[in-house]
Amino acid sequence: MRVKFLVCFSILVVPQILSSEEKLRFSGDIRSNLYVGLIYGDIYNYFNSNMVTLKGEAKPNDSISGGFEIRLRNENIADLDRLDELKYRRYVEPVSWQFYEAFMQFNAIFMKELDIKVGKQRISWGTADGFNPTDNFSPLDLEDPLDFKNKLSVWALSANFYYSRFDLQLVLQPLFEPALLPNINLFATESNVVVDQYKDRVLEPELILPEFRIKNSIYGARLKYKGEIFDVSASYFHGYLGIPVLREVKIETGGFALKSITPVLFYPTQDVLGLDMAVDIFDIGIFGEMAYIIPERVEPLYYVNGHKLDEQSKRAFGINKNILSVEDKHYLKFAVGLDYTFKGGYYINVQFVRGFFNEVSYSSLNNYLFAYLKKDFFDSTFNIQPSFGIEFDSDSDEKFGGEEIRGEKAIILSLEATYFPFSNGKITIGGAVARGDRGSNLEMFEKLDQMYLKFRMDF
Amino acid sequence: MRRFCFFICVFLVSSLTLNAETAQDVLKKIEARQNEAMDAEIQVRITTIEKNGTKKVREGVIYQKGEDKRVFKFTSPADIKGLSVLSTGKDTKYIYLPEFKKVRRIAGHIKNQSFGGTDFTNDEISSTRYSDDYEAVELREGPDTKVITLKKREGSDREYDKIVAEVTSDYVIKRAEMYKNNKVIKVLDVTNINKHGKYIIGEKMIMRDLTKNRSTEMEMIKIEFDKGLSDEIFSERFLKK
Repeated sequence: MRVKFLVCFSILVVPQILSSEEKLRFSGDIRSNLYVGLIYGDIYNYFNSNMVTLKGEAKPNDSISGGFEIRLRNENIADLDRLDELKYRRYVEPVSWQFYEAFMQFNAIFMKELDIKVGKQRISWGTADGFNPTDNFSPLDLEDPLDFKNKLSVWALSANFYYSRFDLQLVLQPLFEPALLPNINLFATESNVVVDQYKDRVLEPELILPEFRIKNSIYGARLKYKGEIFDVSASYFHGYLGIPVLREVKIETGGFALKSITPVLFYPTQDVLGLDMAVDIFDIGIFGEMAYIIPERVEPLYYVNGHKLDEQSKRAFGINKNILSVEDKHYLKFAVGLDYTFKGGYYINVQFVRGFFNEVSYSSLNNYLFAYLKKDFFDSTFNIQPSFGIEFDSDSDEKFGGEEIRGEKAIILSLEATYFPFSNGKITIGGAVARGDRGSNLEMFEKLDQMYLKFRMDF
Repeated sequence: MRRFCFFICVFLVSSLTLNAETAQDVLKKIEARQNEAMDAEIQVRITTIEKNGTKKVREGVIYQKGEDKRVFKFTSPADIKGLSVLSTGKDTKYIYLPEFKKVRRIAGHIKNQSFGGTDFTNDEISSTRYSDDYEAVELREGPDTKVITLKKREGSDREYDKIVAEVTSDYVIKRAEMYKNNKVIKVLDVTNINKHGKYIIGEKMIMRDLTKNRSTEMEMIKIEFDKGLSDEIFSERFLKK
C-alpha cells in the first residue's frame, strides 16, 4: 500500500513540481536523535529515532492555497523476544507514518475579511511560551514527555474574520482526536484505591473514546484585539480533557477469589474560558494567559462480574468513600511571564505557571517557575541554553481521596548546546535531570534522566 | 545710496539664510526619498560574510508601504523559510514563527538584536524613519555629496549614539558610520544607486560590523514600485498565509 502510494505520488506529483515550481513548493527536514538514559534499567537505556519530514505548499491562485506535512519515522528496534519476530521487517525496522497537516485555505471567501481553513491543521492559541492552558484543540504529543510543548494537529474547520484591529476565529472540530501519550506510564491516570491495592491482578486498561456524533463536536471561538502597545484575546472552548481519566473499574471474581481488575478510562468534557495578552513595557516582553476551567465531574463506577457495586459492597473492596477522578470544582490555570535580552545578547525567559499539562482537577494543581537563558556565540554559530523548572508547594494540596501531602517540591534542570556548522544544519547535545519529593508532579521526570544528541538538516 | 546698498545686502543675506539647507532639512529629504514611493515590493538576497570568509546566503521579500508599514519574509534557506517580521509602527512589531504556526508580538528588547543572523538589527530592517530618534546636528557639503551628523535624542533606545551619513545630491544614503561611545562600530556602504522609474534607490548595501569583523551584503534582485499593495499585506493574516 505504501509502495503504491509512493509510486502514485511520484508519477502524479513530481512532474507537477517540475512544471510549476512557483505554484507547488516542497521543503522538509531530516532528523536523527539519540537519547541515552542516565539511570540504567529505568524506563530506557537507549532510544533512537529517525525522521524525514516532507512539507508541501500549493497556491494555484490568491484565493486558495493548501499545505501538507508528512512525517516518516523509524524508531530503534522494539524489544524482540521471539525468533519468529526476526522474520518480519516491521519488528526489526519499525516504521510509522504521521500525517501532521493536510489543509486547504480559502482566502477572502464570501467576503474579503473572511478566510476559511479546512483539513488537518495545527490550531494554536495563547501567548505564553509553551504553557498554554487556552490551547486545547490540538492534543498533546508526548512521545518525548520532556518536550511537552509538542502538539498534534486535528481535522477542523476554522473561519478567521479580520476586521480592523480585531481578529475573530471560529473553530469546529467534528471528531475527537486523542493525545499521544508517552510509551511509559508517567501519569498513572488509571490510579485508584482498588487498582493500586490489587496491582498484580490489574489487566491492561480499556479506553472509551467519545462517540463520533455531531453532538460530541468540539468547538470554540477566540476574539483578538491588537492595540498599539498590547494585544489581548478572549476565548471559549468546549471539548474534552486532553488525557483520559478513570471512569469504571471492572472486577471479575471466581468464587471468593478476585480474578482480575480492568480499569476503564475515558475523556470527560470541559469548558474553558480563556484570556491572554502580550504587552511591551519598558522594552520587556510581558505575556500572560489564563484559563477558567469548568470540568465534568467524574466519579468512578465499580462493577463486579457485570453488576454495579452499591455503597455497602464497596467497603468490602476497601472503598470507604467516593474518590473522584475529576472534581466538579471550577479552577484556574494560568501562566504569566516575561522575556528580555540583556546587553551582550543574553536572552532570558521566565514564567510562573499554575497547573501543569497533566493536572486536570482543582486539587491536583501545583505552582511552577520555569526559566531559561539563551546566549549565542561565535557569530551565532553556537548557542547554549541552560534552563530549570521548580515545582513548589501549592495551596490546593489535598490529593484525591483526602490524603494530604504538604511541602512537595521538585526541580528539573537541563542544559543544551547547539552548533550550526552550516546553513540548514544543526547539531544539539543536551541533558536533563529531575528530582522531586514523593507526591510532587515533576517527580515523574526522574525516570527520564537523560542525555541526548540530535542532528537536523532542513531542505 | 549708502542706505540703499545696506538694504540690498540685508535682503541678499536674509535670502541666502532662508534658502540655506540645514542638517535637519537634509534628514527630512533623506526620509522623504526613502518613503517617496507609495509602496514597494523588493526581493533581496542577503549574504553574511564571516571573518574567516565563510558565506551564508538568505533570500527574502520586503513589502513596504508609507513610512511605517513593512513586512520582511524569508524565502530561503529552508530552516528559516516563512519566518516573517511585520512592522506597523515604531513600537508595533510582530514575528511569525512557522514552526509553531504562531504570531508573536516583538518586545522592544529585541529591536537592537541581529535580524535573522545578519549584521542588520531588527530595527534597521523594519523602520525607515530616523528623525524620531535622531536629531541632525551638523551638515557639511562636498562637491557631489552632503555629510550630516545625527545625534541620538535623549530617551531614545536606539543602539547608536551618533550616525554620520554621506548622501548623494539626490538624498540617497551612500555611506553611514554608526558610533557607540565615540567609536565607529558599523559602517554601511550603499552602491549601485540607480533610477527605477521615477525613484532612485541603492540596489546593494554592505553593512560591516567592525567589532565582529564580519559583514552582510543585501542585494536587491527585483524591485517593483507603486504596485498598489493592499493594507492586508501588513497584517498578521498575511504573515500566516
